[in-house]
Amino acid sequence: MPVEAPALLRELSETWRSFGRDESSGLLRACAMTLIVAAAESDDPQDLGSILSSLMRLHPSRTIVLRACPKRDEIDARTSVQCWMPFGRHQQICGEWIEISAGTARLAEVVPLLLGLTVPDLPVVLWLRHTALGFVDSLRPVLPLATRVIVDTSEALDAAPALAEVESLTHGPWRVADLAWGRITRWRKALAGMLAALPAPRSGRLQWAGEKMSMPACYLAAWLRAAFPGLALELSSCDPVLPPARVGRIRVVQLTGPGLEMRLERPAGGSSVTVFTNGLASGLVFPSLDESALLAEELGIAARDRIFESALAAARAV
Amino acid sequence: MAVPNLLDDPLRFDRSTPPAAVVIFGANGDLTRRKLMPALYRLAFERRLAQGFAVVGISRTPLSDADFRIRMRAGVEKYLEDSPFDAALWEDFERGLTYLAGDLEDAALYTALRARLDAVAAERRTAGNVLFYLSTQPSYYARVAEGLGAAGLHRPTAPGSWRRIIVEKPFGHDTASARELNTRLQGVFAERDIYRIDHYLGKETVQNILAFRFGNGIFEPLWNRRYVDHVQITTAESIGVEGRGAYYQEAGALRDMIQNHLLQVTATIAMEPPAVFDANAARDERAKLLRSIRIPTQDEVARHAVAGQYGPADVGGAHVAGFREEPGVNPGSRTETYAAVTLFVENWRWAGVPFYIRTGKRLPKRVTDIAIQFHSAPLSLFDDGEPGRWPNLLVLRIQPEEGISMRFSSKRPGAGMTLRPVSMDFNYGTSFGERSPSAYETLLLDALQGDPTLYTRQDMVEASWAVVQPILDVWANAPLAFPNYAAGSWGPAESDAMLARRGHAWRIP
Repeated sequence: MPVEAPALLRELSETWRSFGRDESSGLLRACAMTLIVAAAESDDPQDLGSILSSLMRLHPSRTIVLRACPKRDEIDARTSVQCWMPFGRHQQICGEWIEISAGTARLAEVVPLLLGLTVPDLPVVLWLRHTALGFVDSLRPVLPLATRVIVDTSEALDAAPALAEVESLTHGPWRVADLAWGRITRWRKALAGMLAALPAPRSGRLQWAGEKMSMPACYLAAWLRAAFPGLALELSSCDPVLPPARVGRIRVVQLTGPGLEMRLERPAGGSSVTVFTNGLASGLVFPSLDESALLAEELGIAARDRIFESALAAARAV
Repeated sequence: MAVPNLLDDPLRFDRSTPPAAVVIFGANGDLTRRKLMPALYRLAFERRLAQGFAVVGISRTPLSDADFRIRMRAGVEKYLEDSPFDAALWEDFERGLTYLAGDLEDAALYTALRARLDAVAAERRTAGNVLFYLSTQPSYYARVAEGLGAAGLHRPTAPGSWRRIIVEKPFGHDTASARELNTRLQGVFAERDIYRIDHYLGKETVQNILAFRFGNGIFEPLWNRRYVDHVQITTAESIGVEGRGAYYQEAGALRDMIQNHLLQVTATIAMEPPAVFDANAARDERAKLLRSIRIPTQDEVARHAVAGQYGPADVGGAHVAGFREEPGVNPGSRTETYAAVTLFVENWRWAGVPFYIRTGKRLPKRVTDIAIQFHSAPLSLFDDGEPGRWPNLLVLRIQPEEGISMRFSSKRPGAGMTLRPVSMDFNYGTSFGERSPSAYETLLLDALQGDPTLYTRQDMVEASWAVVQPILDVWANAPLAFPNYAAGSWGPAESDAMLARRGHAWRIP
């Protein structure tokens, strides 16, 4: 049986009506946007569900999860409602959830479904969980609907092709965000806080784990070079073993100049960062970040992110 | 396009909070337990406080640091809203809490405080920054400030450090005392370091009024005398004075609510858009609006203001005592527990538009809202028997169900053109799953970060007193036939009559 957007919306309405009959006073339907999540068949449904559920508490949405399944031929869809009880409240808040599975070859047929399922007049956010699945081309007709397209290049083994993928998405009215950029917010904040009161650096070194430069390292290098034009920044790997992106791959940031000797060092697998500034040592904690926290940071930003745009533009030269 | 400063990323970097010690005068009081300490704890929970943070509680009662911590923990556990209590976090937080007992009028207290602050700065690394919080009886405000001044505690001890003072309302009990208080505070602290707190301005929903008005294009063109018929601002409490009888008897509804909170809300509703959104531009506009409110002459007070006091009643099967029967209240008290005023803003935008403001205790429900009633359609096309009966109404709900609703007319289904009022509703909870910070969290953080935008300024305080002073003067000498409304009702009949004279009626919120 073909899957049709009106039928899915009727199904959701029916669910709300049945809730209304059963628990008329205890539910609040919440929605601030449509969040379309492009996921792979291999993505653990529980992991993804948990990320999106915790995200929904901060950013209530109609969430549409689209799974690309290379070996399937059919298109399936199901709807549900996810509710949670905020601490200290007596009313559950609920968001809508639609899950669509489609063979990779049939992704183009899903596009009309997505167009029919977006919530009218509210922002549409497209989260491309994997940029290398052929999603981008299939979903191009959806891009103009999106106010924001979010990608995550954190896991990319090499920054150069990942950067090209991000750049290929920038040619439209939507705004592009990369969760890899959010992974370096703490590095940037620490450096900005310290450098605000110190002389500008002239030279430095940035080191990472993994054979090739990761995107977070690439972004951090680009940000430093854009912030301090003329900065001679040496880039190198210090450990061939590639850790998972959530642990963090940047190991050392060292900056020097007249009156400035600064080194931030993060051990393999650690969340604490040792800071040496002009002979003084101190410590910082950079906890590992899951996708839910990174997405929440992105979705919390309403304005155009000019700092990211500047860093993205500068990343080409890294 | 200008190149942004890449080291400053306000979209992603939280404003940093400098290390500081908060000194609370009146630390054994209700406000500290119910509001201040839960707010500070919650800020610690959110990691919004600097690592170098400490609280020094000051009160007359002798207490050890350990006893003070036990009391504060009990308060936080009881009054923390919308958040779980984290015992491990509390253990870390309470290490920064110390207590100092003493008489606020004794110079020795301030000498001891100096020694304590020096010790705290060394142990807790507070960098010499101190935020003094006056949560004492108002009669002590000036004396505490002068005590701090005499001990030199108002002066920063290190380059780049600061000393600030937060003053709780009431700022005086009339125009003269407000001026005197300001003069004495400014005799010690510079105006930029005096933070007069009006917690209504810290409420998310009050701040949202500015977002609603100046962040949308469709409302501001209607926000004037041409389209607005009148404005009603209501703050109703269903409870009585709840053990605050002695204080309330000295204050009354006009001083307790209208002079400060509700005039600030009125200013937020009616002010002109500031040129930029910074501390002084927004406060300049609020102050300008307050100065534009027509000050009633003594002859006008009877027509423009109504005082009420609740009497006993049976409500929901229970007997509710009248105000004069409340503990701590003089049986012959002339204090008003209800006040309603009609104000006019004398500027081009609002000339002739009445702003009706009411507040009271023992009213039927707890609610705060602002209703903008628009003019009726100029011509009634549809003969529904009641032309103009349901004009458009925009309601900004501050509490308890924060949101915005718009009333308009719609055709009833079926034959004929019968209209019925319907409501289009926005509920804050529907769009934002996030917890809203409490007003005290917002305001304490602002003071620690040196942002006075949501604090009132001396000129605003004096302008507010100027509006209510003639009413206070008349009521002080007028024969008041109290009690004049029953507990559980919407206030005295004279209040309804005040609106009826202009063809208006109070809404039922």
